[in-house]
Amino acid sequence: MKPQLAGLLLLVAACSPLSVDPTEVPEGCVEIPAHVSSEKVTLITDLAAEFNATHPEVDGQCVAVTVYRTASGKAASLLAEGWPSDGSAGPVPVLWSPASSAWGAVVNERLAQAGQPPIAGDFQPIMLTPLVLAMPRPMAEAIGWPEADIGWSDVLELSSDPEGWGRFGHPEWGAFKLGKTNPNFSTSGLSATIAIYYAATGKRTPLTLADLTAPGTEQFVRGVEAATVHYGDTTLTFLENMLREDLNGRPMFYASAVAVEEVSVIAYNRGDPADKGLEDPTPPNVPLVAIYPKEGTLFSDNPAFVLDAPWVDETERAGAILFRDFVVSDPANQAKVLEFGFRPGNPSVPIGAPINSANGLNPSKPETELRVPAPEVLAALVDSWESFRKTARVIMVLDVSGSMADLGGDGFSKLDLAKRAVLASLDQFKGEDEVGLWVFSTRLLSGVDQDWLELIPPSPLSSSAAEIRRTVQGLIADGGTGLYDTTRAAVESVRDSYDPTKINAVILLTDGRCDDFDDGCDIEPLLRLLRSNERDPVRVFPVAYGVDADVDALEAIAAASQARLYVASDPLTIESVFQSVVSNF
Amino acid sequence: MSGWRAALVAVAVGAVILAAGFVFGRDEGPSVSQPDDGGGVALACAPGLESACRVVAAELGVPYRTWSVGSGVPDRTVVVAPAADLPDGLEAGPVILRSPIVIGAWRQRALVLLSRCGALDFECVAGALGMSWSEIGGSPEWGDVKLGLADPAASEEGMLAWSAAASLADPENMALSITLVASSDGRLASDMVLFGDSRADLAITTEAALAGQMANAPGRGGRIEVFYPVSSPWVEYVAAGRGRGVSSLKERLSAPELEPLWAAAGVRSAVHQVSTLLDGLGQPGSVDPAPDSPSRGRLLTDWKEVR
Repeated sequence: MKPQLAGLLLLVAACSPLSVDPTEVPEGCVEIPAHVSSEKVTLITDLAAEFNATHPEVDGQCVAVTVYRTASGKAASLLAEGWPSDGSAGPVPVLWSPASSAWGAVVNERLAQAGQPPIAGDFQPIMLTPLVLAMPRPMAEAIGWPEADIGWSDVLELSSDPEGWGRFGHPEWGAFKLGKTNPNFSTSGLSATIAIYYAATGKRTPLTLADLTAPGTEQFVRGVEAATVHYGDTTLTFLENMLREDLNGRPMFYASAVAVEEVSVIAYNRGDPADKGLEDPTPPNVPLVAIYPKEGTLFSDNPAFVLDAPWVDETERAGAILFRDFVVSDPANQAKVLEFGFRPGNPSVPIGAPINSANGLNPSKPETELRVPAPEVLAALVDSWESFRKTARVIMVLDVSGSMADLGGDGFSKLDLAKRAVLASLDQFKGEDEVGLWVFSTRLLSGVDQDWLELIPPSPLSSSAAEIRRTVQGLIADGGTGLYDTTRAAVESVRDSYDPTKINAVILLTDGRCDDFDDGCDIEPLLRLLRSNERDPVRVFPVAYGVDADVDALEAIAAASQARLYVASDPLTIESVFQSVVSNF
Repeated sequence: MSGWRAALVAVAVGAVILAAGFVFGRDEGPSVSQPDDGGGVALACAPGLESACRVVAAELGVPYRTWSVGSGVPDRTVVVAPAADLPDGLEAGPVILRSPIVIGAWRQRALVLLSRCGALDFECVAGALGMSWSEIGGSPEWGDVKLGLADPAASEEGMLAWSAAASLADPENMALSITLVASSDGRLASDMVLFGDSRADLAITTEAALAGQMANAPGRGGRIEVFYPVSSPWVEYVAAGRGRGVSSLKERLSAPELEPLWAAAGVRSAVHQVSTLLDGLGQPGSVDPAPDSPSRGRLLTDWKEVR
């Protein structure tokens, strides 16, 4: 259950949606496909439109840039394994801009292993943003910000202290809680995990394989990870939950710190953590400030790789270089980069607002940049993290009501596709994770007024995986949807045996809406229960499956338990969506 | 900065903007093709000279093309680069520009080293390698001493800088301290500014590459100071190219009237007396010979050891 680097990339690939931002290529022009990571797709799409409007030419041949949103890990995986020719991932890139140049090194390493030459060569950064620890300002001030040097070792010390925030005179803030994404899915999570290993070893020069097993490394990493609220595939989950709690008057409730890129602090403080360009966002009552870890940190350097690949001809290459220079060399365009909250990739454009103290940021930090380790060390580091990360205790609650028998796609029923997704996701857990299995429907037990059935109680997956597989394969669909009483029962079950050293959670997969009116379809009692679990939080991660799922109700359930809703409107996407769900553990 | 120097720098900065406008003009659109007339020859330079060459290209009214070692040279393009880095088959002229290998340092770091050593020279750098800043009188926040170099296997500038740096410290300390390895001296200086002092505190590289970024450093939180060793290798640049009109541009590049422009951008003419250098640059030491072929082989072996 420990993914090697290739597995890591596959996981990312499986879970990263591709969306295409269509740009019309004028007739007779050569298309220059640019695949970029999601955080900058709006910016690059705007710049591509401006570039195309200038009617760029290469030796008299007009060229036009088209922009595709492709997650860094997905693009890396496809470039290493062969870009699909069926167009499912968009046209093969000429220009590639992942979040970090480390992805380019990964591609080159994998190509080298296959005896092929590198394709991601020298590059120019389009923009930069360092990984920071974002904290609500009062919490940061309590531990000495902005004067004190603060780092991961302080996180460890505070999170290990039974007094928690009481140590700094704020027992009402409870224990120190960390929001950190899963390094298998998120560049921020990967950067944070690397930084924690550096802090554990006390090194600033590149980590080696020996460092990963050095005395003290395991204890340090386990200590920091123990403070984690949950993991996940995007930092947005943390930021949106923090903002919601802030606007509900509980700014210090959900998390004490989140490991995010500097640019995310700006978006959060604007009240628009997803950077949707909201016209009138409501800023948080308590802003976040950035702590640049004293042990050093990593930058996302957003490289513009003009690929040295056999499918790139001279005209395409020259056109891509023109566009890269347009984005990087033109100070006006780099000023736009700054407006988006990134540090410009052109050194002639100074760092200014919004990267300033008014946003809780320090443009002269960090003092030390940490480098991404060599690919083989990186793969071993992520494997090692799989062992040291916080263990999960999860009940998977599956809807087996009659509607799950409906066709989902490709000739499979929705239940068949869901079963396949659950089985595939088991590989993402580690053996120590405790996983249980429930099903719910109104016709499970004749003569018994109960909509749910505990098929397998939570137990370490190392011993229960085979039984879960067998049981899932045998599920059939029938009956109605007793959604709320089932959710309530599952949450109470997890809470009854709550383990504070683990991530305690429920995964709730349903394709419908509550229709068991005999037992009550009033959602409020359930939401009150979920909101009441401050000391022993059980997170409910609902999956809205198919087009008939009650997205609003499930969103409310996710919000009340400070978790996240996942949507698989197209049943054929359930496998990748379910893997995103399980990335929280 | 004195008035005339300020004026010269202002002209240079204006010219850079003009050059950028020429290449990326919004109205006409970016293009890599040029009109096929007498003025259609383009200028391209080694990365460390790029800032200066954009200024000169604008002054001469010729387009500027980005170039790097290992990439081809299109017809009707003059490339200014060390002879060793030029592709085969190009007709190279005499040396027209020179740049000494120097030490560039962020000002706060430089002050600590100056306080420790008296002069910031190669020996002073050697004594700091493998150490943390707190051990040598700096702030603990600064971490370890971080040195930047251009890859000696990738360019002549990198090779000459490495020839000056290779014997400074034992390989172990060197390996600990080299935190920035760039594909060229231009990229080295650019990265040093882009990432501030988090990526490199010091760099051993060409004066020209550092000069090209000095004006940008304050926008990234500090100043870069240049220090001249008693002696060091100098990089020599030639102009080369092929096609119609190339010879004319090659000659114009070494014309006396361009010398102040080169100097104001931090590049020394090999033909004319240098008179008006960029503010912040000073008097270099004597010239060390470039390493011979066997020495280069040994240096590359040493490089592999510390990388």
